[in-house]
Amino acid sequence: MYVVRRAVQAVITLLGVSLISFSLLYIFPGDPAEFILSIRYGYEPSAEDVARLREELGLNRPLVTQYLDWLSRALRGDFGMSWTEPKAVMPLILERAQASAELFLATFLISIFFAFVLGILSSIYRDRWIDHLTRMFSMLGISIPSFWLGLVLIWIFSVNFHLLPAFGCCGIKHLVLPVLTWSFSFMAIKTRFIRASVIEELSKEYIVTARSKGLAESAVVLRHALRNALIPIVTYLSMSVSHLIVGSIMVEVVFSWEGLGTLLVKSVFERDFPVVQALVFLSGVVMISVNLVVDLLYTVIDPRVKYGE
Amino acid sequence: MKLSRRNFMKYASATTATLLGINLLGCSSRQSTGGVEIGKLSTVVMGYGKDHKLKGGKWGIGFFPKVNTLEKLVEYDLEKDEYKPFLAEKWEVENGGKSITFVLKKGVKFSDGDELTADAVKFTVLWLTANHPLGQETFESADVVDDYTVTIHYKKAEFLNLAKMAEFHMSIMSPSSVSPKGDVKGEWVLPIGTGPLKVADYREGEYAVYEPNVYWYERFGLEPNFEKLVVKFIKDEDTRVMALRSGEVDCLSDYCHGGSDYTPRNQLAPLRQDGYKVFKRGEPLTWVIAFNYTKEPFNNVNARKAVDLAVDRNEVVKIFNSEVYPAETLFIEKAPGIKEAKAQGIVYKPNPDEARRIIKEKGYSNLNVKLIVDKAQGDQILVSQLVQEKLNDVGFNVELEVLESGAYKEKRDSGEYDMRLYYIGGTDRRFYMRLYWRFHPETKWKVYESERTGNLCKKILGEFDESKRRQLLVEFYKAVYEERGVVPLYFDIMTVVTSPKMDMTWDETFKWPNGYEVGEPLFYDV
Amino acid sequence: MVSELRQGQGRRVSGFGGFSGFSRFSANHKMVFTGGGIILCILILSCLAPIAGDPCSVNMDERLSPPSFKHPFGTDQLGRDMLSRVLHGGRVSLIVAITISLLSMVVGCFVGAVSGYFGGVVDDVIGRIVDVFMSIPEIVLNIAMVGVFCAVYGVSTFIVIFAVVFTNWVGYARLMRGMVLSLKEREFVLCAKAIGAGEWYILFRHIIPNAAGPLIVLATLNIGNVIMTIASLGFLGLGIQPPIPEWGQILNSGKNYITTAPWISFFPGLFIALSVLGFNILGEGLNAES
Repeated sequence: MYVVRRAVQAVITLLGVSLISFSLLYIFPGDPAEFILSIRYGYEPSAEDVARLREELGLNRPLVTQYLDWLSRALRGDFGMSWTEPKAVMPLILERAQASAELFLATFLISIFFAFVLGILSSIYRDRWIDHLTRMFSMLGISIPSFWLGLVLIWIFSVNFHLLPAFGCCGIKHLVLPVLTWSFSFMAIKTRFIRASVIEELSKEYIVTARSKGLAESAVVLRHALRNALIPIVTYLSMSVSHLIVGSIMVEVVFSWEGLGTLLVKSVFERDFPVVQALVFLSGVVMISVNLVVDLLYTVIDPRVKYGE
Repeated sequence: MKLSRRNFMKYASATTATLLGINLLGCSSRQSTGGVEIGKLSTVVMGYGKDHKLKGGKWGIGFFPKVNTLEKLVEYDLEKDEYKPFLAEKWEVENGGKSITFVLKKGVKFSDGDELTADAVKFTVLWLTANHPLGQETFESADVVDDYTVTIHYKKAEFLNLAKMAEFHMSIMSPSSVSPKGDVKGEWVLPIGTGPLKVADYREGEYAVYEPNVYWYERFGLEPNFEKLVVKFIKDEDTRVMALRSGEVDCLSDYCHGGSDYTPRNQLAPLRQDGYKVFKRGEPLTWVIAFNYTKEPFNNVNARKAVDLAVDRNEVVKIFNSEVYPAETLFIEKAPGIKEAKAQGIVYKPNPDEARRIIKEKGYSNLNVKLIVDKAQGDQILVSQLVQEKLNDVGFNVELEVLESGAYKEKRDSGEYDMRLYYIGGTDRRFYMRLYWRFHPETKWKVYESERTGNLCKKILGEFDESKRRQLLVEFYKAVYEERGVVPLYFDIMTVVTSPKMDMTWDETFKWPNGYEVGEPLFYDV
Repeated sequence: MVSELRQGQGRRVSGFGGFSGFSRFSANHKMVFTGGGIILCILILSCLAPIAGDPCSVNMDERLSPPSFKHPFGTDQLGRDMLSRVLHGGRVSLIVAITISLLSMVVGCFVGAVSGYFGGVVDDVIGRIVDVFMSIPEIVLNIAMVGVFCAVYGVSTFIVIFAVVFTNWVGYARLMRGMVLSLKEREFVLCAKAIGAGEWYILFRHIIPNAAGPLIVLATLNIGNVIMTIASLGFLGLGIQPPIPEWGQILNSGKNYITTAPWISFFPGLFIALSVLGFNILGEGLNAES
């Protein structure tokens, strides 16, 4: 029963996201057909050409019809043609997806690793220097703008010491600085959560039992608290997969990394709205799907949890 | 499962290492291409800011192929202000320019081996008339007199007709460029011309590949020193520079039309410092402040004069690291009539105090004026901020609007602005064509029009006699100066930047092998 | 549990159990003072901005000069004093950020309170709307909206404010709803109902003021977030436009001069980091640690 309710919720949310994505195009007060033609030819199109394209694109139909048509195609992955490139939108997105995925994967792995290490260490040695250091580090991580950090790192490593390239792609050398930059803030957020989750576990009753058995704090954390805290931690981390779509916009822009983030910015500037629409929609879809899957898995894994009936 | 710390660390590091390893393998599949040693047969990769449009369009193919794959009947010498034979050996003007008979050079071959004959020229004229806006407004018809002689009939009788034959758009194409061959209503295939390059491959929005046209090299007694020229279309100027620095491309060229999509000027000095070769040429292209002269306050010459006196162009060029040149005259000194005009004192000089006086006297104090600038042109944003400050200093109240390209074009077309930055002139061959497009009463892209300047412009474009034309030009410059129709800021340049691996020289970039200098970069000897 | 996870960034804002505001908070005093101190400094500096000089006065002879006594933060491509620009930028960022936070708070609290108090269908509908907004990454929607509107109208500060408020109100709504739900059953509310007070009256006079505590914490943290968002939009060229100085925008303009004049990008970024840090520390300090 819960499953059904949750799935229905997800579908409704999806529809809401699609509504927002769709209407992005219609907030644009110009005539999309006129705009497309003026880009294609480089001059003002004639009224007949505009009228013809409007027919072709079905822009004269009532909005509801257009929305349903767009939605049905979007669900199949067809977002129409780009306004500025002679390509369909989906292939454009897929081209860039690999680069984003690379960056995300590398950042994710490194951040998770260090987040676990630091989070666990600081929960074991609570209120000691390592804890303070970690908390300060986390604070900095969420406060320092990633685009500034990226430029600072470029200045240090590329400009001054010529150790690493500042831009371009492909190859571990090009990956180092962007990953370092993004990991800093990514890690900070995850570390805080891991630490907080473990500490919350530690306030539970069975921990008192464990401690009274005479176990060292590290054993208490690792053998008891962590195992139970892992469930919420893993669910939390799996939700950050949704960052895959456009979580790295700022880092990609600083390092000119040809991923989905730079695609979004580029499309916005070139007024290639179908691509913008598609990216907004897809990021919503990914987020909703991941949340749904995680929520459902959670009920399976942890039967103690009940959802506010 | 027992999760001791040691085990945990082991598992985590192992996983990380494996996944990173997979990452690396995935990465290596995308390699960048690059050129090889100097002077050897190789592939040269170039970064360029605009698509070459080899599939055609309203205005035909892009400018780069128009310069490098096609040639024109005549070429223009800016300093001597004369048209020189190129594909045409000689020509005769009849009826005040209503018809011109061209005699073609013999033995010139298109890249597919066909010979250049009068038929090809006639085909070009008819094709342009049927498919091209400039062709439509210029040509009436063409007659083949014999294999190498063709007479072109124009719509109007004017000197501009001859000038137009040096134009990008009037390049001679082989009838094989369309299918079926020679059919003006046929489908466009590819540009087939007599120029040094021929098209080998093209992917819209991504790249174009050229190969040397052996017949052209034969004609000039040269040997190509490369096999392929790959041109990658990279829209963003910073990305282009980065591609050069990272080795992804071997050289960069400015958009050969001029005025946009160029290598950022403040990057030229760092590039030189780092060993890259920078080839630079001053063009008769002047960036100006253009006014909305149809409404208050800039329908009044005093307001325009105040703006002119307030701006110090020597400061403006500093924005570009002084790579461009301050414009004290309407065009560069080489341009016809400028030297004479300068001698007569037609020179733009700043005088902020005088500007302040005018503003106070005429009551323009704190007048709100709007300066619009296109966000896509990064340099222009800086220039406009400087201009804004200078104008505010003398008493105006300038509102600066940095607009997206779309919004900019809309405001420009609807007249919702008082000032904007624009350019007049172009590369050498466009001198008279642009004069028409910027100052002639009938054109829609004009920057300024008054009865005096409009009439002079018309006369200039109709005058075949070089000395008379020169006098008219001087009068024209005087008129524009006295009316402060525009405020010239700086003369733009054309640049080509190459990696140290390439072996180009300045002469090979901006001169044909026969010694003619042109404003666009040529790529026959890389 | 998962819904708590979705509070975002592992930050848990817990309730104060119905006591109003500041009189009884278990704050980490050091953090409050550090954070508050940083922000106070920045505020004071921003107010003193005019003393540093005109942020727009151009001097081409001194362009791109490194930090010196005359120009403590150096000059930019047009010879403008960077110290003055950064401080004026601070004013802009702070004012805009506070405006956005206040507007978001008003909208969010109202929606959240209504949703929590009246429950039922209203709550469901509003809940779905909130879900929709939480499903699209904020920055994505901000970029998309600013981009679409500005394509025709040109970028204006109002569009930026509108776009950010459009996504930002959600956090307040959720907090408010949570607060209202827990406060709704308390004695003082039941008493008010017993004496016949109207629903809206109870909502505004009793419930909302008691939620002030956590709200202030959220607002503090939120201002930091918003400063970051505005700066990010500015960095992408979608924020507040020149010649109005704004930190992200100045940082962006310095990007190409990183080899010749790194100070143009360095100082605005430093100030962004400091202000966000200040608000975060202050917010954390005000927040009860569990």
